[in-house]
Amino acid sequence: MNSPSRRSAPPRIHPATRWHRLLGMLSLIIVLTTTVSGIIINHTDELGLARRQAQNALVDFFYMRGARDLPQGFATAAGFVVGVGDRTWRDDQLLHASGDAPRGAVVHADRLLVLYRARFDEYTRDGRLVESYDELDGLTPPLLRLGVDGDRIVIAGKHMAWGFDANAGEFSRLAPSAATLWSTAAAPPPELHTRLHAASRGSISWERVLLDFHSGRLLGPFGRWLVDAAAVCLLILAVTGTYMWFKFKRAPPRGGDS
Amino acid sequence: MPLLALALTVFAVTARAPAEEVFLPPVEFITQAFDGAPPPPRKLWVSPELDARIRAILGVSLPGLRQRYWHQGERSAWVLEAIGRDRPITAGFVIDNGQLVRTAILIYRESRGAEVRYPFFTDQFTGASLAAEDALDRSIDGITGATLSVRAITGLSRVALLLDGASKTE
Repeated sequence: MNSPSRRSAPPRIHPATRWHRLLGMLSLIIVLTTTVSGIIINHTDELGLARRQAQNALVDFFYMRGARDLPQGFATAAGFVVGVGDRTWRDDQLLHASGDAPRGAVVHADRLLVLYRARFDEYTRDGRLVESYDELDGLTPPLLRLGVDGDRIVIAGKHMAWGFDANAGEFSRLAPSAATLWSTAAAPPPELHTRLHAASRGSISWERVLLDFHSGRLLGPFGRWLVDAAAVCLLILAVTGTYMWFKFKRAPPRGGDS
Repeated sequence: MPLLALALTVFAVTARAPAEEVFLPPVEFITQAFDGAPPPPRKLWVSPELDARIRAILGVSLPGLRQRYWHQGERSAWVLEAIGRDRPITAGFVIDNGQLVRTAILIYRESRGAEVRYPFFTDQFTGASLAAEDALDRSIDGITGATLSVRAITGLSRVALLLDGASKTE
């Protein structure tokens, strides 16, 4: 017969079991969502998700479309150049689909010129790309400012500046003068908001939404860290689960008749 | 069952590739192509006839009305972009005497299909040249799950050879 004090003692829980339960509960929601989204992503071809455009208020919210303010951009004679997410627009025309925000835009002669951190794009006035220039052309990033000095296009980098010859598509080092008129950021015109919203709405597929959801990017940098943390939780779950399996497999059954 | 769920989850978590992977910086590729001393870049305007042949290969025009390339002796090097599914893939091609001598994936931005970067795929292009109707003179084995990336790189290799030929007749 057991003594009263022994009967009331709480059952001893192994630390591995305790961690296993805690991490299991913490990562449950993320595990469920990433599992379901991961399985769907593997079948996007059959489901046609790459072709179907995501158009609803929730997607607008996460991708900062719709009611949110546009970031500052650059007013030029060929239109307003602005970066939204990883896309660059000239008014409601998509100029570039994969890159960082523009750092300056000017019109010179019959060309629209747009500067990015590590790239300089030359367009016709109607937005057709003539050529992209980068480190291969001698432009050392980061590129900071774009300006016009008389007949010359001037690009200022962190350590040096270049003049651009639009006819030859070549660069030469120069010292910018005080007379250089630099392209400066400005607020977008109010009517552009509506036009850009309409133009950008059809540019995000369900596949991309799912991929961003799956990786946590939909929530920005926090989301990526959250998914990283869940992945680490899974690793710990695997280790503690394996440990518990071996440990309790060998342990004698409790309350036996031995 | 828990083990199956775990395996599924780990698989699902690792199914997403980074947004942009630089396998070989373009500057390094060009430097390697000319043994450390690359010539200055040259320009090739894409004529309407050339553009029509490019569109017949890729289905779209190349980004840019003017293409940049490097040329020395019989050797030329090209850094070109094409969209596999959603995002541009940047690939480098070195051509010597009308034959591809090196094909490399420089920057990959698609979510799937990055297996095209491996030599078992890119080495298939070594020695290839253009045959009739701007086709390669050999067949290229595909990769399961990377069909669109394979198509894009194979198309770009044909375009690189086409541009190399056009640059010599300019």
